[in-house]
Amino acid sequence: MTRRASLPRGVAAIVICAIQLVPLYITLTVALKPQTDLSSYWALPVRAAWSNFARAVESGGLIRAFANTAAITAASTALVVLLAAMAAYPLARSGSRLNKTVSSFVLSIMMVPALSLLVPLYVLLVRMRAVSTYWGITLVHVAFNLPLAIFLFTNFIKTIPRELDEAAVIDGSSIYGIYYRIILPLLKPVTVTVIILTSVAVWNDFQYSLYFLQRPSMRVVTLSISSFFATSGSDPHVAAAGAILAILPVTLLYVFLQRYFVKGMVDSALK
Amino acid sequence: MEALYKKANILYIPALALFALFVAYPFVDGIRIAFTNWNGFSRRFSYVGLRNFVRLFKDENVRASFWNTLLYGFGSTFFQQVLGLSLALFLDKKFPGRGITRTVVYLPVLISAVIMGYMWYYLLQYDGALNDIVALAGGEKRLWLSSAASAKSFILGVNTLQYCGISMVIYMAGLQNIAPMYYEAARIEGAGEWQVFRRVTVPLLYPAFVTSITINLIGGLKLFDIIKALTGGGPGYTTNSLATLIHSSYFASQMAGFAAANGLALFVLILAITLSLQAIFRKIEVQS
Amino acid sequence: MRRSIAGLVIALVALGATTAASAQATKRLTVAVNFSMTDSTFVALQGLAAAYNRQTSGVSVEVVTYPRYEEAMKTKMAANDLPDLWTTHGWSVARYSEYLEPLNRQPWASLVNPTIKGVITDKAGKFFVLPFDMEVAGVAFNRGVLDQARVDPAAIKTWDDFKAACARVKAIGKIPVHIGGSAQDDWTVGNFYDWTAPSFLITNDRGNARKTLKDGSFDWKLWAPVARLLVDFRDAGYLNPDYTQGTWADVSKKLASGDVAFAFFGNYVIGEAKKQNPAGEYGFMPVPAASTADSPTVITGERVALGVWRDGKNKKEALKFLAFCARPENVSAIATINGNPTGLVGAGYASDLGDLTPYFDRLKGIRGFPYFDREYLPSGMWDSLCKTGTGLLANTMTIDQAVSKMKSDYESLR
Repeated sequence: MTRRASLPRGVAAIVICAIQLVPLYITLTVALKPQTDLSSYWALPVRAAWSNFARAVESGGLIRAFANTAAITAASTALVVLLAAMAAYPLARSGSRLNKTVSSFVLSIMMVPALSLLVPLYVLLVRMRAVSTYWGITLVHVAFNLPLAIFLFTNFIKTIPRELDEAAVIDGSSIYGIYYRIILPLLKPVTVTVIILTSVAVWNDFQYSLYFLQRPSMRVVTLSISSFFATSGSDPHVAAAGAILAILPVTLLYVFLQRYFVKGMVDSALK
Repeated sequence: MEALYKKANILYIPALALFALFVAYPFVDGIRIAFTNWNGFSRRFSYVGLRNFVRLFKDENVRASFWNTLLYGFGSTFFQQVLGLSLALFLDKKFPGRGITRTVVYLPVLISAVIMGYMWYYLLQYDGALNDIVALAGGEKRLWLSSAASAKSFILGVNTLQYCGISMVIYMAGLQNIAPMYYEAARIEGAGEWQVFRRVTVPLLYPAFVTSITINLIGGLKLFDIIKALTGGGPGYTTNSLATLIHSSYFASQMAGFAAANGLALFVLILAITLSLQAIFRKIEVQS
Repeated sequence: MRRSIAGLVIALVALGATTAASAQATKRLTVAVNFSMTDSTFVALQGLAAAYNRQTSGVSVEVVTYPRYEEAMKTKMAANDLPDLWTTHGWSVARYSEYLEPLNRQPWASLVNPTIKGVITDKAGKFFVLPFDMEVAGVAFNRGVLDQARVDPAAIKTWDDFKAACARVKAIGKIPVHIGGSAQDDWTVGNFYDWTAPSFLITNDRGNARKTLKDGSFDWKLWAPVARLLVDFRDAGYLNPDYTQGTWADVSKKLASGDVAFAFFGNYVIGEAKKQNPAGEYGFMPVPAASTADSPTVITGERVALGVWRDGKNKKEALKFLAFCARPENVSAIATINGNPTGLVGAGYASDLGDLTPYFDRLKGIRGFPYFDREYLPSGMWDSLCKTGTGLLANTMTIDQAVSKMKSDYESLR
């Protein structure tokens, strides 16, 4: 590839990157300006107002929110991996009518809009005394992230040769033993994918957290940021600082672990 | 062996139990609510038969939201395929900055849609970034989100830009899966660039098309967060999707029964579109 | 022998008593309010809670808010999972009364200001909230801007007078009316209607829709002039230039900076403006009448009102906290912050109305009417007010369409 040929591509690439990064750039400049700075959003701040970030952390209870989000994400992801891998094994191996129905049912869950279920789900959680509890919201996240995970695990297990199972049977293993000792260790690649997809989904969730985590001490990051933007009269600069802090963890993780993130999306897509 | 596998069915019971409790039961209860005139919070309500469903067909806002939903769904999907495929082709050859571009284009996918919406709001405010550029170029500052057409375009645009990374990545993987020998064979037969694209690339990208379109379409039809963040469904009622209409019917207009009927309709719509799409895809595959 | 037994008994009793006392865990009371955490009212209520916590053992009161307060409260009612106390923002009777504890037998019940008593009492004579203050509101203004434009607010009696005043303000390059107007703050448009609709439909003692709106026979064609007023303001250029994307924050900011003349909000907008520019001169005037056959009026209603959950586990403690709130110094403090008269009257109840006092004095003889949507529209139509308003402003709805939308929502929600 000659230098000249790659130059226009390079320029085009810069333009593309710039377009995608514009909202982030603007938010960053707004976040770094004090309330008194009324210059255009494009201009870099004259003096960086790091105090906005401090105030975002303080009044948004962001430290608490990050802790909550991390805990809920970790618990949900762990449960999803556990239950999905288990559920996928029989669905992958046995094509019985029952199993095919179960598979279709699981997939159709992905098409249900959250709002259709919101109120009955909320009433149910209240009766279970699960509102504003870690276990309540975790179970909800698990239920709604399982279908995709099951789908991924199922497709993956299908690529594991049945001969391995059969060999284990001849060696006297029970079916559960096969699952535990043969299949499970081989699931690492797809498990990484499931972990990433589920974690991102749970971390970024807004709707379920909004209704099921009402106590301020239970707030997650998306809720804290949203309350900055939603409260009229609040300082947009502090809000922008909060937004930057909110997307920072995922962004950093992504930059360093790109390969796994992208692979995750691709795997969940291509059968 | 089959009999043995049947015993393994126990393993999916925990998952099914969760679904039964947190999905199936609320879903059925939601259907029940659709037959009432409940306002969402009172203990008093009565059953009103099919009134909410009839209203679905008569209400102007439902109709407008229905078309918006299709617009957001099919519109986003179309542009995301165009952008995604172009980017994938663009990034298919090595050049300095290729890796960074891929990283940057995919990054917005990982940002919460709510936060992305708020970030775009800084651009589209009257005193915001976009108007600054317009003013610099000598134009007049505009209220970008206050005409239905303009607002809908921006909603489409923001959604497309944020998630085009998904289709880009899927197509990139798809392109990489095409063995070079197909290209070589075509070139040997004297095919030009465009013909190579049509006869080799497109057909072999078929699985990627199917997946990318399906994922983008379901997401677009369910569009909610970005609309709420940018316009709240306004001005008036004009930019609502069925999803945002459900939300405001329930919480703002206090018509829970109507919202539930709407929710059911949205689910059926998504299901119908997805199933039809699958059928079409299968047909195309068989034909070629 | 007897002494040691006595000593043992005393020791046991003492042990029992102390364990009983420490076994009484701290009861936590949650107070939900519809003001954001940076709002002065929220901060003041937090102060009240802190003072109460200091002087009361065994109880801990926490003041909270929800990002989407009304949505959250509706979800909580649906699930019968409510906070111990919450503010009712005008809806204590029409929306929340099913879940609130009647307060007629509270020690302070007889002190409720008669002016607000009617609005917070239901048909059976029961009332459900402690009203800290009473909204007595008209059109707020920046005195400095009016002086510059040579407008005398006392001379404005009708909408025609008002429009003439707006023209004068516009002539000196200031914004006559700042409405907010964005989708996130569409309540500012709804509030505009709450202020202006009565003058067309309610206030004229000789011809009004008070009964027909309540019994369902209202002719919705009569809504057209109300809708048209907003459109007229827009077409004449009397609104802020970003009238479809303006925010509530802008209203107080521009009122404070002297760029805006009038704002259709309660006196809380003056409180917010004072925070930004304490040196500014502000005032308010009654809402103009629709014609010379009628006279200007003011809007009255709940502003900060607190109720107790009827089925709460800690109802007794909640009522005690409420009684603490009802003390003269506490009620007066909250009322002063909002620039409103106190909701309870008697010795020691007085809000310091500061430089708004002359404007309150001028209200003698002026009639007061409730918030239009709270009193005359079925619950749930506030959203229709806001959305048809923003639709009209953005020209995505004609006046006829707005009228028919109001009509159909009215019929569905009755």
